[in-house]
Amino acid sequence: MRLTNAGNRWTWTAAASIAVLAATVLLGPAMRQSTATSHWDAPATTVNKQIDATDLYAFTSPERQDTVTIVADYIPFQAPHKPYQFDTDARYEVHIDNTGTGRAAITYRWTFADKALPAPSFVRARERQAGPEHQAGPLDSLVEQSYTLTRLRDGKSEILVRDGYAAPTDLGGPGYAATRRKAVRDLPGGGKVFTGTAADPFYSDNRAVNLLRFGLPFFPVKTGVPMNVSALALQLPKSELALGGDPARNPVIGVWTTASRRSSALLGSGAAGYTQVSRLGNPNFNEVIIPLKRRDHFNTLRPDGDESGGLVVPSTLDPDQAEVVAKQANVTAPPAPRKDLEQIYLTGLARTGGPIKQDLNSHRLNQDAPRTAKAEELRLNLSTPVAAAPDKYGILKGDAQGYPNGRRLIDDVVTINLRMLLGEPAGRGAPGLIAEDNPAFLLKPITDSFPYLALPVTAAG
Amino acid sequence: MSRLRRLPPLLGCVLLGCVLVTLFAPGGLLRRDEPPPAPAGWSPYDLAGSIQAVQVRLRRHPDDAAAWASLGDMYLKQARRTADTAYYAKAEGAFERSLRRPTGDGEPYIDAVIGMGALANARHDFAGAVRWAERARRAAPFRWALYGVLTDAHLELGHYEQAETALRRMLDGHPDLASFTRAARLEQLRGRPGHARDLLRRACAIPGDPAEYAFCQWQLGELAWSTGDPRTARAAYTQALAADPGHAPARAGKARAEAALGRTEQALRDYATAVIRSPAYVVEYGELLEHLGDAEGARRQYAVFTAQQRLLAASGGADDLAAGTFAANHGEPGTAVRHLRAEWARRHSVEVADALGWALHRAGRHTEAAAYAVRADALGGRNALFAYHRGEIEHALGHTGAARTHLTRALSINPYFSPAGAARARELLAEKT
Repeated sequence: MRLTNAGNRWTWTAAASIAVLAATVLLGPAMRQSTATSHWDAPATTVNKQIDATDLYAFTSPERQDTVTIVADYIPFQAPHKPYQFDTDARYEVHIDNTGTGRAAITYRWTFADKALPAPSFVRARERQAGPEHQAGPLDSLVEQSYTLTRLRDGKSEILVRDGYAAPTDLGGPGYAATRRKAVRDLPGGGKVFTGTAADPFYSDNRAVNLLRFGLPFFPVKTGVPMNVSALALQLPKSELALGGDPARNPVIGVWTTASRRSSALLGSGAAGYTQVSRLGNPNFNEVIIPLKRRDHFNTLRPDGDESGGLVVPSTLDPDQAEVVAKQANVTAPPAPRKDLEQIYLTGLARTGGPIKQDLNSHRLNQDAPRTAKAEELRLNLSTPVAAAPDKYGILKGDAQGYPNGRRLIDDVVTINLRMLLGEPAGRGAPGLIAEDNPAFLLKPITDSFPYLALPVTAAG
Repeated sequence: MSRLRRLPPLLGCVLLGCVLVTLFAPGGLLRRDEPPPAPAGWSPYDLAGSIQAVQVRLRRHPDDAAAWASLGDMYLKQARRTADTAYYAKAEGAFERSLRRPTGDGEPYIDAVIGMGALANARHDFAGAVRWAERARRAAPFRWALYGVLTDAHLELGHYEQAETALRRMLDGHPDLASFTRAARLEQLRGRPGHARDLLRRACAIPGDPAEYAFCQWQLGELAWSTGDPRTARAAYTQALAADPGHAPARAGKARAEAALGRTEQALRDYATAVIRSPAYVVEYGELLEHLGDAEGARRQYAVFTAQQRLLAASGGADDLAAGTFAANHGEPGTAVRHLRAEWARRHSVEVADALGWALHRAGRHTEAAAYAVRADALGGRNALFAYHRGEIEHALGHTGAARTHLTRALSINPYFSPAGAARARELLAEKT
């Protein structure tokens, strides 16, 4: 990827500029120090990268169609050659709701432990530059982490993987493919797990990002991210996830991921339990549907509280951002209440469930589901056949296997979300807004077997 | 928290920008067959360029409340970096323009409200910061950054109970670097350095960018220093500087530690570097020079301080605590008392209590001074400088036993707390045996 024109370069510069603003609240004027008096100031807004859930994918595994693959990506924008670590004081979780109540029927929980010195990488990079006396050991062993994978189900917890190997990033040594292989493990019951660094599979259309984000405090970021993420990937038999173990009778599951961090007592009192600090189901939901002031709140909520919580349902029915985007794009957004968006994000699609007349991914399609609730989850119908020719615009182009019926690695979710915000597929919407022949594509191609994610980007490409 | 939201606040963007611009730009630096020359994507934080980029955007979208708020934040950062307080006015202008442009819900853009609070803290208008943060809390009780502004303001005002309440809210709702570092500060103020250290270690494990990491290590260094462990302090300051070589507070801290360890040459070099980055350290640099017998060098540093204070006063940002403390040690005690009484009228923090007590002592008003020295110790914090001041005051009052107690305590907390002060404490203790 090359930057060929000034406009593109500007977008990068602009993005960088915004990152600086995050850093602005960081370091206050110098602290009071014996005589040089000022005041103390710790960072207010922090980057919080380690617990930042960036993308969640869920799709039927194309080459093992009796299984489903779920990928949760954390720690975005990792520069090549720089190892990043999971937070050893956090729980990273993937939740499955197969009843439609918003409650997790099954939770997969990763916790991490450092196997070596826990010093952040940017320091190590400097130390390496400083000279040989600072070298503490082989580069990758410095950042190796092990993990425990636990499955929580029916009030019981069961350890699936003990002392698992989290693949560090590719630091340029030979034989990285073996490192990747070492990080893919079989699970009891026929599943697989991969934990570690991979090339970020996210991509989007530049204009769609621009529009969807207008009015938010951000600048456009160009499509295709030549950076790495830390992935938590599972490939699980459908029968393990479906209600009653029967994906034919109960084909729909809802998926979301959360990160929780252990808090701390203060002055000897107060709870030090785990606090949920990140939540992600449908892509863009928090930043596009939830108003800015409540976004941090959304990250602390659980889907089973969505229906009565007074935040998620009203925000979905009348998203401020629809008006802002429509005005910017010179089109009209459908009037509130947006029952179509409620269907897309909170209940899934069923012929009887709202204006989008399609039986697709509502928990109502589960024959044994008692009563479904409105809850923001990424819903996937396990029985939708794998598309012979997948379309990156998913259901908007008649590809029923694509987003928002789960999410595949190839789906252009930003454009789909933008078009749905403007009224598709319930109404006409504004389908021509984003040129469909735009060259938005994955920077590093995905592979055809689990975990599908490309090997980490290195500085050489 | 997913893709769109996270893009901006992330160092990632900076990394991305830098990697791409420097490596892939036409005629880029990178040859395909070798690793990047510098740590890949090392961020130079091109603040001036970023400010320009936002300004460009604002010319095209003058109604973008979010961009105005960003610009305000960048000006605040620029003020910190350059120590040029002219940026405060610019920040204020940008925040105000953001506040005048209601967002979708008809309310001001929340980050501009919080930004005004951060600006008020930077200008030492701590009461104002509380008002802004409370306003933000009413509008958006889950916007965690506001609790940082609120906690800091209360701690500076000496409202320790309120600070604790705000901090508990922050820890319960969003445990992260911002809350752990503040909790560490409160633990330390309450005399619990072990707990402070644990919290800072946790904070050090979770930073998202070098600046955050440098901040945490610097704090660990300060903690080690304050407990009389210059070796550990120096190691932490060195870590901070490895992450952010331009971090002036860590550079000054390292200078202090080097001096304590007898590496005077290195200490002077570090101080010289630190004061170039931030004039906030000229006084302690001067004090070291004076202690080493370089009266002329010290005088030059003190002159810088005086000039800086005049500039601050002219821009309406007079720092009475700094000015008063300086006057108490190197100037006219009457002036010191005047400055510090003004500060005490604004806030009752332990730092101001200590400084006012010391100034009163220097002005010969020992009885009054003793009352403030007691208040400075009231939280239970273990502060060598406060203990030394209290010892001197007791000595002046003729309370030999109490003087001995506090002077001994000062030296046991941190025998290096001040080159001149520690020497004087030892002298006093020796003469009374």
